[in-house]
Amino acid sequence: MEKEFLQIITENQGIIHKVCSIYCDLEEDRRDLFQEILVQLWKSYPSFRSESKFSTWMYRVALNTAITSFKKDKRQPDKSGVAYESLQLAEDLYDTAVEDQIKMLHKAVSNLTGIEKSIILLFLEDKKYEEIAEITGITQNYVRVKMNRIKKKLKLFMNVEE
Amino acid sequence: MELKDLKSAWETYSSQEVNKHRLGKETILGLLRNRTKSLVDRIDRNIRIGIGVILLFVTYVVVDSLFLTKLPETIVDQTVEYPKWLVPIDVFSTFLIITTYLFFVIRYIKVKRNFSIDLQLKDLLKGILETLQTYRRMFYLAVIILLLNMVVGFAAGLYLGIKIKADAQNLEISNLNLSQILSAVGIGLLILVPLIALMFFILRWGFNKLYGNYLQSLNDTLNELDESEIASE
Repeated sequence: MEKEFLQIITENQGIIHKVCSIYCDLEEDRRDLFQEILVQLWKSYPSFRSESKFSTWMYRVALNTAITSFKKDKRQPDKSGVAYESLQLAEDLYDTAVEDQIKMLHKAVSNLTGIEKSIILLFLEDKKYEEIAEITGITQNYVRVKMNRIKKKLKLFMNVEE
Repeated sequence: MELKDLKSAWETYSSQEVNKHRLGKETILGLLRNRTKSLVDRIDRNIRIGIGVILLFVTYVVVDSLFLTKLPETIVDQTVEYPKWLVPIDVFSTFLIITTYLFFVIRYIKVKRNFSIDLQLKDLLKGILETLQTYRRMFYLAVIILLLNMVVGFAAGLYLGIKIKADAQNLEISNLNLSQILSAVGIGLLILVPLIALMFFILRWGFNKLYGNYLQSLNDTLNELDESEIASE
């Protein structure tokens, strides 16, 4: 089972990296969350039934772990914005506009709640409301309501920044 | 800026991030082998330590009643009489510690039985909250029992002190000067009460410092889910 698990995680590790990227500002937190998600996936892997897609199940475990992860006070997320300024984006891959958009997105996302972060991540990953509802375990109606609020929040925050 | 622009920016950024942080099988295996403990794992460990402490405590009580109280006179002053009224209190408090702990362990196991990280978020949040609340109740109960034991210990010490003093004067306790007894009790209480209050507040502060913010954030997330469900109806 370990081999099978390793294979499937290696192939789908992008999901964990993306979740860590949305929920963590600091590299140290990101590493810790990555490991915590990995451990939770391993522990709950025996209970995975193929009723849903593996990626759906993996998103659910990763997002649940991120939302409920326990941080000690000294490592609370930095909301000062300093961490985002130090985002190192490869210059040869991005133009300035993309880099600005990403910095702005990270800043805006840091003002969202844990649930909102999960919804915006799945939205950015091009998931349909139906799939977002399945992953997060909430109703499609609620996802729609939430998505409208998130859009307003993001637009408001980004306009303020512009 | 439009959200669709953000989507394409995110796509570029996230794929670059994934490539930058991509790990090989060996590294992933290493991370799994050197796993850190999550909060619930740590609570599990604390409960197992608690069971170990309870077993040691029971062993100590048995050894104490069977052997230590019968030590030779050179070690234990056999002339000092152990007040009989303390025996049922002692037995009761020991029984209370063991049964309440076992009660909470059984309750904790029941809560944990339905607990899994791949539950729906709402059920998961309720599960973690219930786990932490059971743990908190157990913690407070342990503190209260500890403080009760301190009070019993204080009462026994005070009684023996007065008894020794009475014996030294060849008197019965009832013949001692009442004001002397009252002043001894008063001074004792003056020391004991602030000490108990201080201990209680330090332990409560410690628990809240450790888990207070986390409990608050879990409750906030749960409330957010409840509120939004109402709004979407």
